[in-house]
Amino acid sequence: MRTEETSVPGTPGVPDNVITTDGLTRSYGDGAGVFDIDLAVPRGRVFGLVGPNGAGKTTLLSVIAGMREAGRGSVDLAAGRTLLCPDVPDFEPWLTAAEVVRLSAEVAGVPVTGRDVADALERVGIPESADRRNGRFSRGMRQRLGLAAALVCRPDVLILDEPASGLDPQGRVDVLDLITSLRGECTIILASHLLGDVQRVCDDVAVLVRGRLVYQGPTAAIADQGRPNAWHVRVRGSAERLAQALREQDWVTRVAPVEEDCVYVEAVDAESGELGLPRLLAGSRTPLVSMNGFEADLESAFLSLTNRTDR
Amino acid sequence: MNATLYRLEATRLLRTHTLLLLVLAFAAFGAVGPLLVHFVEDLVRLADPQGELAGTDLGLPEMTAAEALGSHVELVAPLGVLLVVLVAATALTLDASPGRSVFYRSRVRGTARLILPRVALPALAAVFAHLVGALVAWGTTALLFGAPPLAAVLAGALLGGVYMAFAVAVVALSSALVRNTLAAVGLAVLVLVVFAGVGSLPFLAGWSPGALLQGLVLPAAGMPLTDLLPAVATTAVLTAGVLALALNRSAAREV
Repeated sequence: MRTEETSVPGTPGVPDNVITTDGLTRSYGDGAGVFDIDLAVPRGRVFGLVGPNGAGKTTLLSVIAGMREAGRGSVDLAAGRTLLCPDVPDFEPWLTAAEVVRLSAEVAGVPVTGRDVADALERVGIPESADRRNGRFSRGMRQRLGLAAALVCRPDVLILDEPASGLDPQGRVDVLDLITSLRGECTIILASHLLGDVQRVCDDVAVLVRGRLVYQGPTAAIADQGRPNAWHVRVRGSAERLAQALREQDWVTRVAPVEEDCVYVEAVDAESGELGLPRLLAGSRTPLVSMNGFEADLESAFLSLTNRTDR
Repeated sequence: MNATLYRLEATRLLRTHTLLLLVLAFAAFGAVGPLLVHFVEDLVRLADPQGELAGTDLGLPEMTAAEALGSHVELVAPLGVLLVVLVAATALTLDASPGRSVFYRSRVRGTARLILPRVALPALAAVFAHLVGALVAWGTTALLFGAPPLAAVLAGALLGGVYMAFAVAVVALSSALVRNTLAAVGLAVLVLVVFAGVGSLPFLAGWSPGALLQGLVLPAAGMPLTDLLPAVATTAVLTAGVLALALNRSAAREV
């Protein structure tokens, strides 16, 4: 498994992890389950868990949340209240939204006032539905209600399983903003197949493939693996002249003019191109109009990791 | 004890009109049972208005208050108990929906805290409905056949309530074994039918939980309620055992 250094708050040199698993294994036979998971979730951060369908994300989250037993290994939970928000939340349909939120706090033993309930519903964007029975709520509204019901309990660790599923685009943005706003307030573990969402809000990420952890570390580091090493460089002047200059560079592996003022360039690696191209343009006093590479994204790195494991 | 979960179950019974429907059903059994007995001769003739029975003196024996109350019990035993099983199953199959299961199980520590309110309130509702049904049956019987002793009939109905609590405990166990509501109802009914079958064996009849439903009939038949003490003991022990097993199985369940 690949791991990257993670900068976390706490004592220097001693990672402040809220959840640590050691050799965690839960097998369902026929290769299903999770195996030898050594996970470290830093306190107060947003931690993403990604993986293909059937990779074992829900099993891992359920074991961490105490909903399932580990077959082997251990889970060290240095937190008070850990709550799991499932991908399809469900409540007694005859309760109003406000009653669900109040019930959530009361059964968890958290003191709650009417103000707390209203604040939680306000925070997830459904204050106007407080007195409506949730039985007729859309899936998206139920997702929001599930979040409100969790937030009112003031959890130390909040595990969100596909929190944006069933939400419209605006709802998705709202939920991601909400998750971002919770950073530092509690530790969040976010399982999602929407890699863009994970990249946007998660500080750290773990990649699970066929029940095994293949990567964990800062999201920026994994996304970095997807950095481009090819660009379209548009200049003011002749593309052919620039192409000629590029061919003389030892870090350039391929050059091809694509338009009169645009060149396609491939470098041996991302860093060589990122440093070499501006230096060459400045040295030849060629004005740069634009330089576009493939956008660095988690999806590229994820596909690279999962394909590597599948082989 | 978390009073919130008891309040939740009370709200379920009231807001979903479950308690009202249960009471109305048992009250209907209480009215219909004695009426069927009172009009049995007419009903037989109505079944064959042009046939041989029309002009025949059927010579049915004169019906009594005990038979009227017994008719009420004959409706309660299959239909009333089935309703109680359905009501209990709606409360106890909390794992039928994973989302709802996670909501409760990640917040409530201890299976007993979670399950016992879902047993207690439906059981109380069933006992209350059974008492109301017995009161209506007594009133109708008193009107048509003469009044049996009310206090003794209600005391007998309370013994029938012990059987209702047993039925709810059986639902708790079936809900801990299967997740689907319909499957839990089916399994509970199967268990109750098996108990009824075993209880019909002559040497076990006095110890059978099902015998408790006859509690409200005994006073009208001039028999003492103490005859049911063996059945009370069996049912109490079985209820406690079934409930303990249900809690054990529910605690072992994974979401």
